[in-house]
Amino acid sequence: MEHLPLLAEKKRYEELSGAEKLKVLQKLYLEQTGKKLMNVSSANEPEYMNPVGKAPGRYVRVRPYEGREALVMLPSENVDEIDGTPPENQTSETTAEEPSTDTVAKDTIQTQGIQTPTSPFSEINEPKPDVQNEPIPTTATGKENLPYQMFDNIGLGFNYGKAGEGQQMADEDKLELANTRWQVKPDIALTESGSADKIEDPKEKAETKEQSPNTEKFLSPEDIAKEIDAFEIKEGNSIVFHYADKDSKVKIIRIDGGSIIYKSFLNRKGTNEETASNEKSYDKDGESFKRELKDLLVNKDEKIISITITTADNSEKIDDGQTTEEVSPKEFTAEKLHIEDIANGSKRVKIEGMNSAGVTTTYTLHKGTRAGKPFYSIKTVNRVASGSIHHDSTDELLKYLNNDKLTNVVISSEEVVMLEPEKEKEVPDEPGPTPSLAGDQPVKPTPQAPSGTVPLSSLFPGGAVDFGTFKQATAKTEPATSLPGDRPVKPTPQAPSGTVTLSSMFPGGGVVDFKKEEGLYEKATLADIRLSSKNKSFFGKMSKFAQSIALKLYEGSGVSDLVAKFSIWNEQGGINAFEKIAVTRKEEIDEIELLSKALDQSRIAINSSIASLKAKGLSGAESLQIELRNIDNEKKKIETRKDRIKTKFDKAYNTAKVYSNDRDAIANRVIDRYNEKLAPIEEHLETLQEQRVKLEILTVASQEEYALKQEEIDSLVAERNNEVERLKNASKIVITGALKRLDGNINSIRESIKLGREKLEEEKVEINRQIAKAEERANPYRTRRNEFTRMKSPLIDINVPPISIEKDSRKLNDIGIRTGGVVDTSLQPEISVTPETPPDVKRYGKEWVSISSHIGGWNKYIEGIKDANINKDLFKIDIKGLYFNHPRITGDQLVRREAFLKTLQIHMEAIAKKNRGSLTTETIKKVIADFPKN
Amino acid sequence: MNSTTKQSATNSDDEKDFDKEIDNLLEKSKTLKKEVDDLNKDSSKITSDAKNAVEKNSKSIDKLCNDLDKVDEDANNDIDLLILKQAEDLSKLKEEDAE
Repeated sequence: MEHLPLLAEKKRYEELSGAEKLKVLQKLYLEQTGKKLMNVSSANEPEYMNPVGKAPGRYVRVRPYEGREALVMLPSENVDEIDGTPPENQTSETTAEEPSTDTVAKDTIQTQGIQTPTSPFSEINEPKPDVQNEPIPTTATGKENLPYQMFDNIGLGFNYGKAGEGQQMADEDKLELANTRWQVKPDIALTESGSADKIEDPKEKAETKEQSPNTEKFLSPEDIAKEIDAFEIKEGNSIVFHYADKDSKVKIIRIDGGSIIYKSFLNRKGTNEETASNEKSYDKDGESFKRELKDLLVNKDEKIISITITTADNSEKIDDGQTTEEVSPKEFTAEKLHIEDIANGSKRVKIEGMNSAGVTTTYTLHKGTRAGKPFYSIKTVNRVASGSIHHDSTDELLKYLNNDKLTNVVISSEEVVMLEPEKEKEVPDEPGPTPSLAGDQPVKPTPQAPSGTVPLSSLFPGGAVDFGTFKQATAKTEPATSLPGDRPVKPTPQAPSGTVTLSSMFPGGGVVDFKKEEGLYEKATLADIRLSSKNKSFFGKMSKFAQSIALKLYEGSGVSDLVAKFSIWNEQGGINAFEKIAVTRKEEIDEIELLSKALDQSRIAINSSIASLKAKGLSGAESLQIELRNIDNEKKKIETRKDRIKTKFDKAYNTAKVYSNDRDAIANRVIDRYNEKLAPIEEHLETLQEQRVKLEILTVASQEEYALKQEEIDSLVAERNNEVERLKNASKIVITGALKRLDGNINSIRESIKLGREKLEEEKVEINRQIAKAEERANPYRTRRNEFTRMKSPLIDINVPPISIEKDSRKLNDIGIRTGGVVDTSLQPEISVTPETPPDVKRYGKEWVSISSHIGGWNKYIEGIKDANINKDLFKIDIKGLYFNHPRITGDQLVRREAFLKTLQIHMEAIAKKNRGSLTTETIKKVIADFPKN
Repeated sequence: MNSTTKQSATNSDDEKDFDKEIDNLLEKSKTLKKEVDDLNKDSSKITSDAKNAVEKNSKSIDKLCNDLDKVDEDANNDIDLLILKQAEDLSKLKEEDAE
C-alpha cells in the first residue's frame, strides 16, 4: 500500500489542520490495524516513542471514542495523502496488516484491545474495544469540512476553535460540542492507489492479511511454545510476552511448599505503567504451569511480538531485534551509553536495570530541543512511577546514571528517525513527577554506617524531577519525591527533601501520571460538570493542574446530579486525598522517629566503643568521635525534617477535616431543607390519599344510588307497561298526553342516570390521574432525601422512613382504585342493566339493604371474631367514618352487599395505611371474605 | 243496562283508571327525575370537591418541589465550589511538597 498524494502538497503532520490530522490518523489506523477509526476523543501530538517490540519512530497516541488508547505510527516522511472517499465499515478482527513499503514496521502496530489470555491473566484482562461495531454518530460536526479545527493535543481533550480563526470557542460552543460526539463522516476516508472510488472490501482485506508475510512479525505458535519451554521455573525468573501495545509479564516471585507464587501484570506501552496485576499461587508443577501458559498463548494464536525471559541470575535474553548490550557491573561509560550518538540525536538509548530499591526501572536517554536549545533528557519509568529530567550536557546523563546503583543492567539503543531535519523537534514536557520508591526496604543505620539509608538519589539519581505537566514547574529543579503507596523513604543527609504523596490523592493507588490526568478532560469536561457561571469563573482562574485534579474528582460520570456528585466525592478521593496524605506523613514521621532511635543506638554503641578503646589504650577513638559528631548532625537534620513533615501532616489532616466538615455541612443543609420541605409535602400527599379514598367510597355510594334509581325507573316503566297492556286487552288504545309526558320523563331519567354515572367515572379517573401526578412529582425527592442521608453516612445517622407511596398504590390497586391512567372497571360497583321482566311487588330487590343494617351486621360480626390477633377496634365502623360524614348518605340508604364490602375494603385499606404494620391487606381480605351473608 | 252500554261503561272506567294510573306514574316520574337530578348534582359536587382539594394540594406539592429544586441547585453549586477549592488546595499541596 503506497501513500499517494491526495493533498495538494506534502505536509508535515504538524502542519495539517485538525480535520486533516484526523483523516490522516484514520488512514494510518486503518492501515496499521485493519480497523476503522470512526472518531477520536483525542489525539496527542506525535512524539518519539519506543514501545517494546515496535520500530522506532513517531507515534500519535489516539483515543478512539468508546475504545481504548491506541498508537498510530506516522510515516517516516511527510504526510501526503488524504482523501474523501469512505471505506466500508471494517468487519475483520484481523490486526495484522499488509506490509507497507514506505513506512517503518507499520505491521507492528496494533490497538490495545488485543485479547489477553483468560488465565493466569484472567484478572487483568481488559475488554476489547469494539471499534467496528461502534455506531456512527450523527452530529452537526460531521461535515466533510469540519466547522471546527482540531487543535494540538492538549491533554485536555480537544480544544476547538473556529475554523480558520484559530481562536478559542465561546464557552457555549464548547458546551455544545462537548455534549456532541465529535465525529467524522464516513465520507472522509482513504483510498489506495489514488483511486478515490475504490473501497476496500473488508473480507478481501482480511484474507490478504492472513496471507500477508508480515504475520511473520508475530512469533509463531511454535516459537512461543519454545520460549515457554525454555523458561525455567525458578524464583525471580520472569517471562514477558510483548504484544504490540502492552506486555503480559509473569514473574515467579516465590516458591514455597508445594506452590509457585507468581505475579502477572499488564504493562501498557506508551504509558509504561502497570495497568493491572494479580498474584496467584500455582501448583508447583512447572510442566502444568507451562502447559497452561501455552494453552493461553499458543492455542489462541496470540499476536506476540517478542518474548523476554529474565532469570534470577540476571542474564537476559532479548528477542526483539533491538541492539542490546549487557552491562555488568553497573559502570556506565560514554561509550556504553552511546553518548556520542545521543548527543548528535541519532540514537536514543534505553537502560533497564534494577535500582537500589529493587524496582526494575527503565531509563531512556535522548536529545531534545526546547526554545532552540538542545537538552538531554532522561526519562525514568518503573512500575509505579514515571518522570523525566532534562540536562544541559550529556555529562550529566552519565553522572545521573552512575549515581544510581543499578544492577541487572541491559542497554539497548535504537536509531532515531529524523523526520524534521529542517526544524528541531520541540519535545513536549515529559509528564510524571513520580519517582518510584516501591519495594524499598528500610535500612537501619548502624555504627558502621550511621547515615546508611537508601538515598533518594539512588531512585532518581540527580534528584531532579521534571514535573513536566506544569510549565511553571519545569523551570525549576524539584526534589525527589515519593509515592504514598510506597514504603516511606528514610530521610538522609543526601536527600533530605520532603516526600510527595500525590498518588494517594486518587484512590486506587498507583501512579499519578499527570499527563494522563490532563487527559481526563476527555472523560469529564467542563460541560459535563455543568458548573454555574460563578463556579465556571472560579474554575477558569484555577491552575491547569488544579483543573486537572478537579476533573479527576468528577471523572467518570458526566456529573450533573447532586447525589452523584456526593457519591463521586466520597468514592473518588476528595477528602480521602488529604487523609491519605496525612496518613503518609504520619508514616514518614514514624520512620523518622525510628531512624532517630537508631541513631541514638548508634551513638550509644560508638560511645561504648570509644570508652572501650580508651580503656584499652588503643587508638581510633578520635575517628569515632568524628562519627559521633556526624550522627549528632544527622539527628539535628532529621529532627528539623520531622518538624517540617509534622507541619505538613497537620496541614493535610486539618484540611481533610475542614473539607469533611464542609461537605457534611452541605449535606446537612440539604437534608434539613429536604426535611423542612418534605414534611408539608408528606402532609399534602396524605391529604391526596384521603381524597382518593373518599372519592372512591363516595363514588361507590353514588353508583349504588344510580343503580337504585335505575331500578326505580325500571319499576316505573314496568307499571306503565302493565297499564298499557291492560288497556290493550280491553281493545282500547288510548294515547293520552299524560302517557306521552310519562314516556318523555322516563327517557329523560334514563339518559340522566346514564350521563351522571359516566361523568362520575370520568371525573374520578381524571382526579386520580392528578393525584398520581402529584405523587410522581414528589416521590423522587423523598427518595433523594434518603440518598443524601446515605451520602454523608456514617457521620450523621438519620432514620430513614420508608417510602410508602408506591406500596400504597399497589394496595389500592388491589382493590380496584386507580393510580395510573386506567380504571379497573372489574372492581367498580356493578351497574345494573335495565330488567326486562316486571319487578316484584316490592319496589327494590331483596339484595338492597340499608347501610345501617350492613354496618350493624358488620360490627356484630367483628365483635364475634375470636382471633386475638385481629384488632377489632380497627375494624369497627360507623356511617360517618365510613362515608366521610357525607350529608347525602344516611343509614336508610340502600346498598347492595358487594358495594358495601367494596366500600369496607377501601376504608380498611386506608385504615391499614395509617396504622402501618398492625393491619395487613391479607388480614383485611380474610376478615371481609368471612363476613357472613344475612 | 244493555251489554253495549255495559261495555261502554266498563271501557270508560278502564280509561279513567288508565288515565289515573298514568297520571300517578307521571308524578312518580317527576319525583324520580328530581331525585336523579339531585343525585347528579351531588355526584358533581363530590367530584368537584375532590378536584378542588387535589388541585390545591397538587399546587402546594409542586411549589414545595420547586423549592427543593432550588435547594438542589444551591447545593450543587456549593458542592462544586467545594470540589474546586479542594482541587486547588490539592494542587497547592503538591506544589509545596515539590519545593
